[in-house]
Amino acid sequence: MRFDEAGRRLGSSLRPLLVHKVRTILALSGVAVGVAAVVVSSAIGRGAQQEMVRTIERMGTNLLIVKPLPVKRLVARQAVSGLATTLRIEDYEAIAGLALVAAAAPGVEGNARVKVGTIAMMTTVRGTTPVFPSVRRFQIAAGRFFDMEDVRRSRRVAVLGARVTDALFEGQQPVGQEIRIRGVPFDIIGVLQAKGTTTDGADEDNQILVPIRTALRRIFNTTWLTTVYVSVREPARMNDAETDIQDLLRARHQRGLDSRTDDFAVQNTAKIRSVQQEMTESLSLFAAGLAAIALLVGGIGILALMLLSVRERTSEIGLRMAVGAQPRDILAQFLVEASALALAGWTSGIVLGGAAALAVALGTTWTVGVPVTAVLASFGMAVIIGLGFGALPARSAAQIPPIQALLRT
Amino acid sequence: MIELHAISKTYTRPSGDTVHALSDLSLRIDRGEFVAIVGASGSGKSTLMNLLGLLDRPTEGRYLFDGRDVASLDVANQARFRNRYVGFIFQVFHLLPRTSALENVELPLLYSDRASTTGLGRRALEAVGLADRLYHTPSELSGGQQQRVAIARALVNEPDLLLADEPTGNLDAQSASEVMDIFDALNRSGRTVVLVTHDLAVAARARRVVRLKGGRVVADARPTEPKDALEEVQ
Repeated sequence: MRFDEAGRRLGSSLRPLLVHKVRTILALSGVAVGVAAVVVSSAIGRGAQQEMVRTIERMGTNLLIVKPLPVKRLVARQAVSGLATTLRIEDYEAIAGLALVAAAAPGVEGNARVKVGTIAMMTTVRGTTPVFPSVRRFQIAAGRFFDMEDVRRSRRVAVLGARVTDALFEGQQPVGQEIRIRGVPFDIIGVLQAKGTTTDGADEDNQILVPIRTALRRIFNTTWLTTVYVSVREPARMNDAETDIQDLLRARHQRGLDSRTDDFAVQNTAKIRSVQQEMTESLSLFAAGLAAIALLVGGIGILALMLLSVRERTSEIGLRMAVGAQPRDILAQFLVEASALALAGWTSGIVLGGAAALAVALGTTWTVGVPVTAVLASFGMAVIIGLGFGALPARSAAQIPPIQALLRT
Repeated sequence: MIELHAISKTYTRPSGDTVHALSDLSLRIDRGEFVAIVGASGSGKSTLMNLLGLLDRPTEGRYLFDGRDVASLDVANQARFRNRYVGFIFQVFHLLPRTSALENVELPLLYSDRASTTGLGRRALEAVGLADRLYHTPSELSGGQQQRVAIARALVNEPDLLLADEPTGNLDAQSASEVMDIFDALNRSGRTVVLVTHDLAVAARARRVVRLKGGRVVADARPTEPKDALEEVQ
């Protein structure tokens, strides 16, 4: 078949679609909505996954967090919170000495009112040691982090999170300036680079880091830790490290081996993440399944239109056969018509879905990314739907004996 | 050109009855003839026409076209045969709606294996006097014009045989006469024309009149003067 002839046949097949515009648009809109649903759901799913990967990179794949558990107190003093006060600097030192632990950073944190000049704000103040940036994967944007000398001497030095810097200094250089934390003056020696919000909603840029001893003595006036961040040597042995820490702390706190009597908890970020990941994945799968059903419904729309089209044009089929169309020509004509419908639906679905994904990206804070696989997969589905749902009507059209087709009007 | 030998066609009605549309019919039509097939409705004339055009197969008997047994061709080859050797004209025109006259005429060319089809549609429409109606759709044409478009479509592939089934059945006298003029001219230029009609005035324009009754040929007149042929079969 030559090109011009192929073109004319194509035109001849597509003409009915143009003639019945409303019907055509209705039939292809089913596929379009289905494809758009595939695109949007996979775009959001992909965005969530990207967000997850970023969180993992930010947190590190090898982080364990030890925290004291809340305890019931018979006598509640205002100065102490409801947390167990048994997690001590010595515990942190013991954890840091474990074989599977690469590095550990202690933390004591609380909310505090801070003030620079006349600007004041509430923020999280965290006392820790110089390994903190490497364990929690922070980069220094300006100045320096405090060192062991600052810790030993309980110096009043502070490193500011990005958001705190933005709030208090509005673009000015904070390093070298003074900040008051609960009224106590500190020298700002460095600024952290921004990390953004984590998936659990905590804002790690809204904090001020100070040496651990300074925090315990001068700010919070306590002797116990609220956190120990543990960086595990091998990400594959996270669970072993978790068990080691549990055993160690149970032995040190002498509270028995039953987890129900623990006065601490170990958060295994790998576990949390795998649960989160599973949730994201099953949600994406669910959304993709719904989208696929929508696409299938679109296919049924095409089937309906094609069946109608064949029935309505039986005498045309008869005429085409009378003037020399072979059954395979008729088959091809209706398959082309159905595929064209599906492809037009796919194209509008991609445009629609892309626009919707863009709207989601602009209208919300969600990360959105249209995966190429979704575009290709929906294309494949559209083609299969076009051919699959077009085949039945096309076959029945091709098998009508010409004389019967002609007589039916 | 056409030889039918002992052709029978039986249908089975949905009710289970068998209908003998044609029984043991033999007929020979030579190249260049202008034959009218007449008969009452139910006489089998439309069935005969459908068999001649390979729209249907005989139950029994042989159909030779230029010496070739064409009734036993497979479906695809029958389609090819219709495309190359036969032009159909129907009572109800069978034009595609919302499609220009030119595109309607060019429809058979879609299924043709000709090397070049350029200009054929236009030429066919010129031959039936519709050169100025190329882009009109059927609804913009009169009945007579529509049938002329249908004739142009039948002619476009330059077939040996034109088969017309009641071509004037839906036309007024004036248009019918014009259409018959075209058939006359086509026959004079050498084309074989077979038409089915119950209109004796139409049959009178043919050079040979075959009368069917009960699926058999009951009269076949081929005199020199067309009008006499009609009288003979009557």
